[in-house]
Amino acid sequence: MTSDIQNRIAEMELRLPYFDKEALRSVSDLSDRYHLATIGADDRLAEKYQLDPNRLPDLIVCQIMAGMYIREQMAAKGIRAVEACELSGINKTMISKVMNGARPFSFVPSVVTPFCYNVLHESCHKVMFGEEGRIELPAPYSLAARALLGMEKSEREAQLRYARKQAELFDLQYRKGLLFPEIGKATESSGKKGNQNQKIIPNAPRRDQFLIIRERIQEFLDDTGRRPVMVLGQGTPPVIRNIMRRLLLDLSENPSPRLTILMYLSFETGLAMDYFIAEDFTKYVPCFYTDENGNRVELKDREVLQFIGTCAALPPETREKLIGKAIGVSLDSSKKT
Amino acid sequence: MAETENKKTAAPDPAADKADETVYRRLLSEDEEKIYSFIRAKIKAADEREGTGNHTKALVGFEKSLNRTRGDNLRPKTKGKKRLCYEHIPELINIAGISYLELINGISTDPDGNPFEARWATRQEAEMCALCDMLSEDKRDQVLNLVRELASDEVRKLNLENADQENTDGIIQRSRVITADEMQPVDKVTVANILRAFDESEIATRMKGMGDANAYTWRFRLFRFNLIRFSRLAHAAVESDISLHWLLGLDESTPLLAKYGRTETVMAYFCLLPVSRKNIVMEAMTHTGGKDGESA
Repeated sequence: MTSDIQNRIAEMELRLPYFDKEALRSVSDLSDRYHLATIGADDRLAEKYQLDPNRLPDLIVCQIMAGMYIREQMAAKGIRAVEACELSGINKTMISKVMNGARPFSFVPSVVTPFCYNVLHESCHKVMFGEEGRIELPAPYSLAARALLGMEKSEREAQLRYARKQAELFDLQYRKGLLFPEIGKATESSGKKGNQNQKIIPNAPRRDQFLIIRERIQEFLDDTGRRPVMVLGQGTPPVIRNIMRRLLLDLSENPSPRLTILMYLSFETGLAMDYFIAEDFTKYVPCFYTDENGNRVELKDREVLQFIGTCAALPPETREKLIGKAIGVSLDSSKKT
Repeated sequence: MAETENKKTAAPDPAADKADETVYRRLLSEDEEKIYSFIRAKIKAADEREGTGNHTKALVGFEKSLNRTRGDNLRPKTKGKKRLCYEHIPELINIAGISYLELINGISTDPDGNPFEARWATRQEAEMCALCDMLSEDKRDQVLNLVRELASDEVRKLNLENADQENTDGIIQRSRVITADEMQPVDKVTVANILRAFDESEIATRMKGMGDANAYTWRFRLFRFNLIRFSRLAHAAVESDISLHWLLGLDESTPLLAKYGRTETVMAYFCLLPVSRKNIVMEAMTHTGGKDGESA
């Protein structure tokens, strides 16, 4: 397996973007599309859909390319593997393997975000797909952004301050193990277990990664008024259907979707990967909101982006309070004016 | 006259049904009189209270328009008794300035004399309705814009589909569905009671044949024949677990549980929001200074 990948890497050159999305969209049969994207290159399918056999839209190719890109970037920026290990929490051997082309860049999502943000200072989407992604903010965030932009500066700062205080409070509770007592106990007893790594590494999710993924998928579904099966189509393969079921419905299991699945989800929804895996997805990805006339406008105000990022990182109850408060205050102030 | 009409409906021929549809699109005369007398009493009270004759004028205008529309080629109909349809009731209650619920309780023919007790499906919805009623008119418009943006057409459609999986394109989407508990009688009305309401016309023979038909079929039938007593419709809504708005095909803005029509429209969107968005709207409402807002 390793030698196969090495051979493939030896034949490849780093090209951006890593694969042609339109080519993958041209595969009409959804089972074929999923097979092509996640399981691997297939000459039969290439022939069937008249695709370039040297440039098949394969997500594993993306991961291999990501390894090459990381090697280039780290060499250019002078970052050593040990530093990358400290900043991201990935095993040093694994990083070396990725850089040497011995394995694709495929890790659990909770370490991919810190690696991309802390080491490369780039969005996960850019690293994994080789192109800039974009996020169309769901209606609640969009309304909050509009509300904040319509406020006076002092009022906007007050809202941001309040959001930050809530985030600090959550952080404090989390660190003391008040929110998740069982994690706190594990950390105290063993010293190395539990969420110790997540506490130290910035940009790592403080809550369970699968909770974040679930919330984001649910947000997306709420926003578009679609069911999971409608996102991925009627011909969704049972593998991905089961993963979606476990993520959204079956709370008894702890689903850990592979990075490939999340990349496929990002491809199907058209949203940057960061939206599904990062706690604060506004850091490196351009976000778009809907203005009064229904046009999609890029959000550039740093304070508003920080507010949305802070809200997104918090648990749903706090997030709903913050967004609702911002919208309510803006309604109130518009009445006064 | 009524007997001859009922004999016509007994014919199972669908073509005959279609031809008779216009004839049967009205209430039973008994209910019609009750509705008229109740509305007139309310209008009189409102005019005395306000010291103007606006309500009475509006009623006269409505009756004229009723005559005009019922004649062929929009000619005024001078002979014969004026007939009401379900579709005229929203206009009448607007003229009288009362809610649908008041009308139902005003003309209720419940043998026990129990009034209907209306309530929202959840406490959150009831709170939202009360808060929204407290707002001033322009603020209520702002809230309406807010919920409209949060509940896109797709979101509403999905929630409507979730409320009931059956697909009735174009019919269900116009109105809201609060599937349970919107209208709850104090005394539980049994299915036998409903069937008794149907028994009063010969339409009941067809209704009985439907057995446990779903709510959609009920509604189609009710609209087709419109011979069910108005006062019994609330019971029918309860028994079939569907919204009275939906059952009667009312406009979203017809006030039933809320004080104002605009609040009903807000609720029509609010009820179909996902839970997380409902929380956001509620939070926004608590920060709009709703309780300080003047009542419109």
